[in-house]
Amino acid sequence: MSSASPVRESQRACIVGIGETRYTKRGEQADRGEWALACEAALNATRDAGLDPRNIEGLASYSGDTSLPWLMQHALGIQHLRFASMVWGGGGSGACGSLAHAVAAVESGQAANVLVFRSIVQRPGSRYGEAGGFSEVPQIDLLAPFGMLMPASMMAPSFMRYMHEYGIRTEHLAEVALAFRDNAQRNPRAVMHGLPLSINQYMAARMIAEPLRLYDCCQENDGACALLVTTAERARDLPGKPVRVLSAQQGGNPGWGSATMGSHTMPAAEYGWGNGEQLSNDLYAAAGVSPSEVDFAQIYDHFTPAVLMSLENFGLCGRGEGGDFVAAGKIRRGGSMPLNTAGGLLSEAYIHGLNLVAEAVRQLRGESTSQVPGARVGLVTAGIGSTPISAALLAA
Amino acid sequence: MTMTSYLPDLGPITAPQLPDHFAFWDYCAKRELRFQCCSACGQWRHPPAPVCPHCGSAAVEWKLAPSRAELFSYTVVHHASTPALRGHVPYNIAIVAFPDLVDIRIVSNVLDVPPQELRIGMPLQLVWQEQAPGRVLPLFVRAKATA
Repeated sequence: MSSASPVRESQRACIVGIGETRYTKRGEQADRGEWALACEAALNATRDAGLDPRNIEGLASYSGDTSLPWLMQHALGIQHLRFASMVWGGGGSGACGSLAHAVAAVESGQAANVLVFRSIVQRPGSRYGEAGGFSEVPQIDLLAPFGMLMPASMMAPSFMRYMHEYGIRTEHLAEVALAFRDNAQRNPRAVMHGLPLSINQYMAARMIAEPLRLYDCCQENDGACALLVTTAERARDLPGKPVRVLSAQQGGNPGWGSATMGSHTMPAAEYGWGNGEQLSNDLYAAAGVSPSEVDFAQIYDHFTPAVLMSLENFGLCGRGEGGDFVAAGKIRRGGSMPLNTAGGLLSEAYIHGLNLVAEAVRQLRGESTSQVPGARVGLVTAGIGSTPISAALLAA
Repeated sequence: MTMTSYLPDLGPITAPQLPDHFAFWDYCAKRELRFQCCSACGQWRHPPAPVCPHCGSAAVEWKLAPSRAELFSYTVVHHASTPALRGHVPYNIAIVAFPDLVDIRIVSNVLDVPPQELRIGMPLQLVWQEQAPGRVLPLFVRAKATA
């Protein structure tokens, strides 16, 4: 594996700490609030890294995180704040984008230690199945009058077309939901731990927006997750095992608008693909690895069909082969491409995708509850369908 | 002829925010489906935008959409995301393409086709419905077999 980056090896970015709060069902941590959860995750990440939180120099988050930089600077006692960034994009499409900002900051010398974080307390009025949370979508007038008011209905037509074009069946979607729920049974942090899912339960669940049934849709949770990013040189002075960021990128194919606004404009041939192909090419080129070198992946699973589309976009199987790929058991533990080994957003928790990065770090440290033997390179994706989405390649 | 609208008035969330969209809805109120067409290079675009993504010109004409339309994709929504929709599920959301234009589609509803009969590629025909005073929506019905 060769590096395509011009940055000196000693200055390359590493993740040296991960921190999480308890993950719970929506509303269970509302009394604490997002700021408190963000601080708890941040302190857990710095403790994991062996760093004094006062030595954090940069902050990066996404998707309208309410734990603003001055709140975090105040609460964490940050002495020398040199970098703060917020990545655009709804949902978790910026999870790896915020990591990319942290990487850019440490590799350019703008900040020595950057905290990437995301905190969510799901408030009434902002539930994913409720209309009304989209005032920030400036083109909502072209969607809402026709009843397109929630993420499931915004994404469903793209999934419908994808399934139509490639012969993807309900059983393929079910396999994604069941595989991730199975992983959650080994992960005590998972909100769905102790709640196995059967194919009969999956098929009997209510329809949300065809082709999406209840268990095709991610959860609504409270919790926070944080990562500590620094340089390889500084990582040598820290106690833990650093995980290298081979590349972290944002992107989106031409013609793709914000989520379903892409329905209007994206090239017809790409409608059922999601918009990850260009990003994927950039990601692998920057990392100097090929898809065949990826040992496991944490794929953004806000909805099950997005997982199949992402497998294809990121080169883990051929175009249109996502259904057959999962039907062959390849994404399960022991398969050739284990996915979402902590349970993913569907079954661990929906912390807007940042918990997928944390699980990739655990895999590369050899600490996952569904450990992939000899895991060396992991892919993490963040979002699909909106623009920009993001992704990262990490290595032990 | 008065006609019950397919979906009820969903309130302020449906109002246009971008000035570029105002003309689109003004034409709809006159029951004309018009899209922007670049006066400089002749390329159509939608949603409305201040400049042409093909040539960068801000010069624009609003041209009548072609009549040929088809169902590009769809969903049938079973979950009422707002109390106003409770009596209206399941309803369909249609992505309607215009085969004579390149990559221009609109989100709409198909009025007269039961969910199980919706088919990607089915020919559609434009109709108009007033959802709220002043808000006239471009909606679709199944096109006659011999159009």
